[in-house]
Amino acid sequence: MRNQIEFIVYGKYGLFTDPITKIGGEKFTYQIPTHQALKGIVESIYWKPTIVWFIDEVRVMNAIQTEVKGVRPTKYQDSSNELAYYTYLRNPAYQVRAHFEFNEFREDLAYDRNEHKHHNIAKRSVKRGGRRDIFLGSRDCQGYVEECEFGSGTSFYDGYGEISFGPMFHGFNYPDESGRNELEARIWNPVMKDGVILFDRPEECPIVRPIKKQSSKAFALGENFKSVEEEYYEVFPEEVNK
Amino acid sequence: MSWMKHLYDVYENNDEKVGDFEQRGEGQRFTLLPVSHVTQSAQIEVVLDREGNFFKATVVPKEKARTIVPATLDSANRAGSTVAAHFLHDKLFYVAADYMKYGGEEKRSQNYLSYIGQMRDWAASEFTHSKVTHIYNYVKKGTLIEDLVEEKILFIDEDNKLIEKWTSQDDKKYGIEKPDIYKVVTGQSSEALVRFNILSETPDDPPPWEDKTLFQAFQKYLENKMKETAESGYCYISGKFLPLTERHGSRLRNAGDMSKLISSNDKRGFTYRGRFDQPSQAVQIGYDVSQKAHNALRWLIQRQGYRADTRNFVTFGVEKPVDVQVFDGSTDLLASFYGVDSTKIEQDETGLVIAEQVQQALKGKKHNFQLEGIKNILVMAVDAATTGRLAIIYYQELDSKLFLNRLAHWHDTCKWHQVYFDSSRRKITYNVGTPSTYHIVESVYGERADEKVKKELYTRLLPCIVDEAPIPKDVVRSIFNRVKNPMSFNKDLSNPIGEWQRTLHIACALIRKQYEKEEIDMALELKNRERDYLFGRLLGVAEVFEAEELKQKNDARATNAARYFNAFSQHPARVWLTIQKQLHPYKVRPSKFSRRYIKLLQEIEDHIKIEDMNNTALGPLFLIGYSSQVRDLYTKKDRKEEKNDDAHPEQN
Repeated sequence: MRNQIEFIVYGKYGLFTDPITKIGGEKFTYQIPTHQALKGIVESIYWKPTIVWFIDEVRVMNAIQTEVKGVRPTKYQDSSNELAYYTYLRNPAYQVRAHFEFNEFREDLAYDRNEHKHHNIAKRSVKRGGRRDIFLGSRDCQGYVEECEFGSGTSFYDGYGEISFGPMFHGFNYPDESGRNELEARIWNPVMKDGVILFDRPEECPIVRPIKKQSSKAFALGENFKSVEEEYYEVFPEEVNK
Repeated sequence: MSWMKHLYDVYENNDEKVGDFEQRGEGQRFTLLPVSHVTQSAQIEVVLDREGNFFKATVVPKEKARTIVPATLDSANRAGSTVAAHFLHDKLFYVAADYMKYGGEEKRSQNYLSYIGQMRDWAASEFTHSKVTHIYNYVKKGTLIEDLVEEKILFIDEDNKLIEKWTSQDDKKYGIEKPDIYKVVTGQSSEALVRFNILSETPDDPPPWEDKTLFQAFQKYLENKMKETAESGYCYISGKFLPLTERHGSRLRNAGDMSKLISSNDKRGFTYRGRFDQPSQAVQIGYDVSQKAHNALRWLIQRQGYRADTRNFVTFGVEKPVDVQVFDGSTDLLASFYGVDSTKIEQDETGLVIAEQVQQALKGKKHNFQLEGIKNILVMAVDAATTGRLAIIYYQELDSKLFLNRLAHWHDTCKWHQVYFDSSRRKITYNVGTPSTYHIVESVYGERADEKVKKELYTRLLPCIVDEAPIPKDVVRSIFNRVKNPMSFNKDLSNPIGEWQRTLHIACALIRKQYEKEEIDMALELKNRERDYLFGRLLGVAEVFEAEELKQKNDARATNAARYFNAFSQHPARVWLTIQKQLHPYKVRPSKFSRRYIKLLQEIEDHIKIEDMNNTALGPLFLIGYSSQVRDLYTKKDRKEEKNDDAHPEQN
């Protein structure tokens, strides 16, 4: 596929919180990553507002195993602690295939729609393990990205057959990517075949549920972002004055 | 599939069992609860005649107190001062119109109105039931407390006020002993739960709290109500558009357990906020789905759960709740397969048969699972770190064939000669098999260990059984260190040093599991030249040698081998000299055994390499050598063999 990148992401633990257990605070992981979680990983590898990432497929490399840890999260409202049991995925490793398309809703960035440029930057970023920190679902699960050929190596689920996971959270539709002034959640029915899950495109998800009104953030030069020239003047005044 | 969807499926697959009562052992009766119902403990039972008149009343004994009560979401989750009545049966201050008349508290003045309003609505609706009408007709008369006082269930004082608590002075004051009601009620007498029964026309007419037609009538009534009031939306579990709920079941582990798997009361804790303002924005769950999933889990825990302290473990099939206890030892497993007919699992003298039988039984189980169409087995454990929230602390979903293979693997690789007390036959039995997890835990930490520590070990052993994970090394080290001190054990379980014997065998089973890849033989390995193993054998011979000699003299002393066990394991070469010295008197004074033992000792010593004859501490395999040697000497005591040995000493 055009503009596609392939990589493997792995870590000691993963926690793709099941929304059922999110509201109470006793987090329990989904068995497989959501589209949104993988999209977050890809965006940590490389992202510009010009582009939107789509996850094409994921290959689950290791057996799905969970491990429970007693944790002491700090409370948000005061400095006291709480006790909770979090259930993590143990030794997750996923081969991922993702591609980008241009965000049609950012007309102000139309001049930056240079496919070749973004694709090459993305590929270089994958080689270097991404530009920013990678998490497998939540912040305490550090992950690592390496370049790889999708389908290479052996997976625990090679020749395993089909596993259906039932209805699952797919991801959010944010206003800046959907063009609607609403935050929406998508639900889909993933099926894993010999370890490989083919993701539905966000707009193909069978259930879309409006959550609340929200509008996309407006960017105005000089108000909430700075031009690169201006930044350069500020950081290297002596260079400019030469 | 998510755990909740699976639990929902369990309910759907077993819905013909809804409302049927089962009992497990001597425990309380339980059932798969109908949707929109809760179980409560009743203290007073009021029987009405078929005209809705008071007939009689009794105080309900604790073991018969369990009552299924139709409830709304509000009433099922009520707490503190919230006024939210159940239907039909409820606390006295809800159902008695004359509660205020008998000195009721002002804050409870609205409770009856809430109750009777609901009842009127149900009785008038198209989903009413003859029993509802009778009960409604009676409660609206408002003479409940009056009737109960007359019946001498409740008591009033000189001011015509209900006696809420019975103190020891009251015995004298009223000239009677403490009435039953005050014995069964924990708080005030007006907090007693009243349940209504109706004189039945036919003998097989169930009481209202077990009447399935009544359950259904209520569900239809409530469903109809909810269509008007409850919000509908996409359910994250089923993916269907359904009436939703934000309140989920509690009392999953036991009747007093208020912790919930799904909660969202922490509005200040910001567990879900960030991009959401409301819990419903993060997730939506259908009312029916939530009710069924929670009822199924509760039922499974009561029916086939295993409890360790506050932690509950449960293994079940989604299609049928098939009961396979993962923590069972080999003998328990066989007993559960063959039922009470334990004669079938009679083992031969060597006990080897039992290990084979377990594998056979598991094979049979696999066959049955296939016939019954059980595809998946779920292993789940729940526990609460704090009082409010319950967490799933173990969850594994396995193909049923894979599950049984794993179980078979556990019973095959973690087995050793076991000694246990058979309570049904009141004698000590020996066999070959895997110890139950209960016995493992007790042996690793000892009886007096903290329950919290023990439950952690159950959880850590679960992956060893279900996922074929290696046994944690610290567990083996722990039990090894305990076994090294035979003198610290109780001396019950008949001969060689009692309880220690059992612990030794369990330790051997765990060590065998740890060295799984090396496939340690259950019988004595005569060709094994490992240092630890040979030293173990030496001590084994010394133990049996001296024990036999002592037995001859009717001397009940502990052997030197047992007394020096710990020292020997730390400094084998040095302590071996000491033990040998102690054996000297038996060696010089020939008896019918000595010759054989002396020769055996000589043989083993010859196998130990000179550079191995040092004081480095011995590893766990030492126990295996010891146990195998002792067992070998005790079982192979054929007179014939000894005679042969005596006849041809030069042959060896």
